[in-house]
Amino acid sequence: MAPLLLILSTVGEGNNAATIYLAGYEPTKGIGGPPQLEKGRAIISSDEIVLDQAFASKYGYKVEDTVTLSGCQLRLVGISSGTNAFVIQYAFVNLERAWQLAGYSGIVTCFLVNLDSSQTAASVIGDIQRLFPRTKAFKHDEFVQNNLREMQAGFLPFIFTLSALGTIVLTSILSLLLSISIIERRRDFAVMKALGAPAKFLLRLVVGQALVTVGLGTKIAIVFLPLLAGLIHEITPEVAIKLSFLQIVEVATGAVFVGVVSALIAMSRLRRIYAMEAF
Amino acid sequence: MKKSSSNSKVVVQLVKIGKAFGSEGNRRVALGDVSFTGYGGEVLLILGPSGSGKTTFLTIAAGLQPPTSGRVLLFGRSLEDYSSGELQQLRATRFGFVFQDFRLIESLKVYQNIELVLQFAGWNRTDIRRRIEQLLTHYDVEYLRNRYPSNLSQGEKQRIAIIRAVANGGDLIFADEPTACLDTEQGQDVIRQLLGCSHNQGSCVIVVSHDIRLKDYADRVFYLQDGLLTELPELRKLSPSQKQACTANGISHLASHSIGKATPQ
Repeated sequence: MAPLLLILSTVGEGNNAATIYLAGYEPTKGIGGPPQLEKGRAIISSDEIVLDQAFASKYGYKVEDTVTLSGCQLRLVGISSGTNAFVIQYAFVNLERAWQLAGYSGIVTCFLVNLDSSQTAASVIGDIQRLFPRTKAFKHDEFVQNNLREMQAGFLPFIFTLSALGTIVLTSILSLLLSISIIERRRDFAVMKALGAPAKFLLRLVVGQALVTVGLGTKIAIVFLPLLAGLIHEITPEVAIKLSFLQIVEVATGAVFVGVVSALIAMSRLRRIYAMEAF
Repeated sequence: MKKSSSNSKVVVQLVKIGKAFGSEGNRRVALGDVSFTGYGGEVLLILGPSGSGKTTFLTIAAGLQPPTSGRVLLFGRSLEDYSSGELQQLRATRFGFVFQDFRLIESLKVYQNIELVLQFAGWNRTDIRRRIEQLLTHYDVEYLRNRYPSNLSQGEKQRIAIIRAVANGGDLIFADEPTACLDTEQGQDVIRQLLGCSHNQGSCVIVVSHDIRLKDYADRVFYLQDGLLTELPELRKLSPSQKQACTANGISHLASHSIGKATPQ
């Protein structure tokens, strides 16, 4: 069992001061520290600190630098990954150092419990709640899910709003482009109508053009994604872009949807072209 | 050349057609009480000066715009009885159009321009391919197959436009000023092709033009001026010198003096 103290703290001084989520843990317990180290090592003593890589990159910290944490001078011994919560990043210090910074000793936010092979999570949770009725105990997966849900509740609506706005803007631009293309080829469409083009054929023509456009756009986006992701990460290190194949398929499906809707909007322009105009 | 229409099928009939544009105070009459009957297997020439209502006449006969008054019958059925879908189907399967300035789709190759109308008519791929081969061979333009319209001469464009109009084997072909951009030889070639189509395919070909040179090839000739349509049955009996003197502007004079009284259908 390992105690963990989570507090907000400040790294740097004056104009360079930035807020960080500080995790105080006992390095000897083997749990509670950074999930993954990109550079350096984990802390051993109370004058050492590990910083998240996005935070370190943003503020220019390197391993072996001296970091001022709420007025204390600590040595940066490692850079961690998987510890970036986008709006705030994590840093890791010895539990005693965290108590000192918090101004109270002996307090903890939570305990992390490692089970041995003879125990089940349910039985341990049962034991904890029987002994300490006001304590909440969670399995690892539940804890992760709760955190994810909390993050998503605060973050996803913002992303969805941005995506919705982007979709509306993209649909408007594409339908406008298609409308212009229809107007430019007005005479051709009138001729086709005079020659007896079925409405379905004309719809297929416009939808086809829309799909070619979004298909090309998606292809270009996929080709330039690594470059763009690198550039964004360079400018804002806390933003890490990772796309899975499934997510690319989802984006492509969204693009097809935008294409079809844009084509349907542009079709209203086509309906106002008459066969008579061919003469 | 003139065919008897008594044993041919009526394909299009206009009964007392009137067409006016504009609002009450600014009304302009394009057609007034025009009656007309077109039979399968004949070429009908509608002559008239610019602005006489020829194109209005053509588009009404093709069901592309409704008349203000009167009735249009296509294949014995009133235009009002056709739904918009049926009219579209009719245009795709039984009509052919030769537009002024050809109106070929510039972004499509020659064979694609022809393929398009056959697709509209619902032909399958094999039949489309066979029909295009047949037409390109018949009109001796196989070498144009993969060219874009921008790489064709005026005469070649017009030839392809005619192939497109006859491709679906339609019963009714409308030609709007088909010789407007062509020299005499090319113009005669065009009308000969339309004539061939009419006589071989049994189609009714309606040609509107201000080109009086076409009159020798038509089975019946009409004159349209100020919205009134007059058949000129005796025009082909004119002497060569009279014919020579006959111009698009002068035919009005012929209609009222040389031929005699106007003959409404």
